[in-house]
Amino acid sequence: MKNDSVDQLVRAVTRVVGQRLESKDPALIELVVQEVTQVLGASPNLPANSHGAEETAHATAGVGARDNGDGTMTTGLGSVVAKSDSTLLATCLNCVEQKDRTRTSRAVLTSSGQNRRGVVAQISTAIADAGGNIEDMSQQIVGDFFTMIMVVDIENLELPFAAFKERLLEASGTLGIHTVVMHEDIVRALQRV
Amino acid sequence: MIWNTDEVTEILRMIEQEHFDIRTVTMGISLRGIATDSIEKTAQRLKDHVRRVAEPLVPTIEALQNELAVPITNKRLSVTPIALVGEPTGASSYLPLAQAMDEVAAEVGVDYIGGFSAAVEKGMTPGDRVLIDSIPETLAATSRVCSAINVASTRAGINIDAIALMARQIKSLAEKTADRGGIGNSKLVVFANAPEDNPFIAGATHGIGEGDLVINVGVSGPGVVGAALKRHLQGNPRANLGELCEVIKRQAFKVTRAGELIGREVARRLGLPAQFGVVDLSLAPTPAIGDSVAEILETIGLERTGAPGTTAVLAMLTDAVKKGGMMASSSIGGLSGAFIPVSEDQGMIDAVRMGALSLEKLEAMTAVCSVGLDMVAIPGATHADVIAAIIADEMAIGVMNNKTTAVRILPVPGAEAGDSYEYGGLLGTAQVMAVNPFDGRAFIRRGGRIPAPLTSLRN
Repeated sequence: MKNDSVDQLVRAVTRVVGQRLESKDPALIELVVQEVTQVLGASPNLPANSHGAEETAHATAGVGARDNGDGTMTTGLGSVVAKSDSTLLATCLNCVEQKDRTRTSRAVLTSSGQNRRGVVAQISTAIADAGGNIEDMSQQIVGDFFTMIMVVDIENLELPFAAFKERLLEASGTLGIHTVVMHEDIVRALQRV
Repeated sequence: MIWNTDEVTEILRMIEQEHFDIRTVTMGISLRGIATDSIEKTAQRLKDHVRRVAEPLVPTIEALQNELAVPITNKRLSVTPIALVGEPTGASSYLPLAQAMDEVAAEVGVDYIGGFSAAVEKGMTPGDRVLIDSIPETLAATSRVCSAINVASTRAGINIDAIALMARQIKSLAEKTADRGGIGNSKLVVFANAPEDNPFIAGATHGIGEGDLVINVGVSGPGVVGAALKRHLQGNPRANLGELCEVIKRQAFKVTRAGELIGREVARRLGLPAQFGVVDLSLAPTPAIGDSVAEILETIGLERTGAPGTTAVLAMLTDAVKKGGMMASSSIGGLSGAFIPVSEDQGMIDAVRMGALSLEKLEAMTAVCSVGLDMVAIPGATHADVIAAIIADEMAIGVMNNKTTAVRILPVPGAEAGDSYEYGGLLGTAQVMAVNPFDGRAFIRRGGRIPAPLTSLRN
């Protein structure tokens, strides 16, 4: 199979399937086939039973395809792919998993309260200990009042997000600092189109 | 900074000071595969199926809530109309199905489950009749089950016989729950043009055109919109209505974006067959101070909700919310407008208490917002046919305007106009409203169906 054609199909699946594809669930596979069909804008030419991974790969490859009679098919994208290449579906599934991982992996942390010695150090240490990396930071002190916003890369966290958040709240709470930790996704959703 | 400080602090302010929350994440569950010819077997299959698909819902939502720092207030379920599921059993009551719903809802940790429902706008099948007959005992005996009955549609007209029957069930349910102010009726809604994807209780039902498992989200945000308007007016006290519409649209956009993110993420984490359905962008108030739709109307320029001008301001608000939400999501559904539940909104409670808001003005307001007469308490002695006439009026507004309207009315046993009853929690405090004393019962007793209006002939 030509890599280009796989890439094109993978891009199509990735663009339209927003679900986590963890298993080869028949319903899931059918959905992938349907979505690819829709994207290619061609009539599906599916086998009656498309519940097996290999058959479905065949079907996926064959969506809107023309049989060349030599063990290859020309897809709706104009690329030639092997008819029975069951790696196609797996590639599609993996690619959708990749899409999951393209969710932003940053947390936004805000802290406020009475200015105390060691506030920034304590919070920063908790972040570093958990495997987070501070990417950006803004801090203001007005009178005796301290506010801080941090953007933290959480790609390589060594613990689940909930535990990470709990540690940060604990670290700042001991100093009487009010901290809110939110995933960057919510900031992006509200503030960017 | 990657993120502007103002952008981050605005979100914090929305969450911590302006009551911003996602009001409900509702999982719609198809029960079309569970019907049997035995009520006991069907009840068991209902429990098994709902438990299996809904078990991960609450933990998934709670994890997401923790990550995004946005409160998700309610987690709920809706199911295929039980009239369809129960009919093959031939049973004379669907109470066992409702008990199964109640039990499994408690097991999976949701506070309400909608779908003890039927659509009877044109006529009734035996299953519809059994379901409606079962309503009083069912809603009195269960705590989480909600019922929505569609009695009218623009396509079919208004089924006055069904309305009269529903009014008697409302009276009966009020009596059965008289020790708690007739609270049973807070779980019962009568609809015209009921949507199939409504995530809000008590009207949530998983419509027959829906998929196997659907995640619908109901956003909230009166506090956010109200606070933004106040801030704008502080800087621009003479702002005109066009400017205020822009402020409302911007806030509705943000609120809807959060709803969309959460709906899609919950569906993704649950995995197939769960799919994201819609965001219902209704402004849903709570009894909390500052989280009131009425207060928004008053901020725009009314002394009290109910004053002349109220319907116009509400129309403007509802439209601006829709326009802002529409830009934020391609999956808008449910009711989508502004809710004005009388007992659940502190501004509405105050307006009734002060005599600014009457039942008639409320009815006019429902012509331009999303729901209808919602959480309206009336004297317990109100005759069933008078209740039916009130429902018929509201259905007519929905049918003629090709929109959803609904009635969730609570006759409070022993109460008179001017009394109040504290239901507590999100249900708030009901101020008992006066009902017009002139009689329309003879109209209801003629029975039959008001034919579909001319606007139904669209093909």
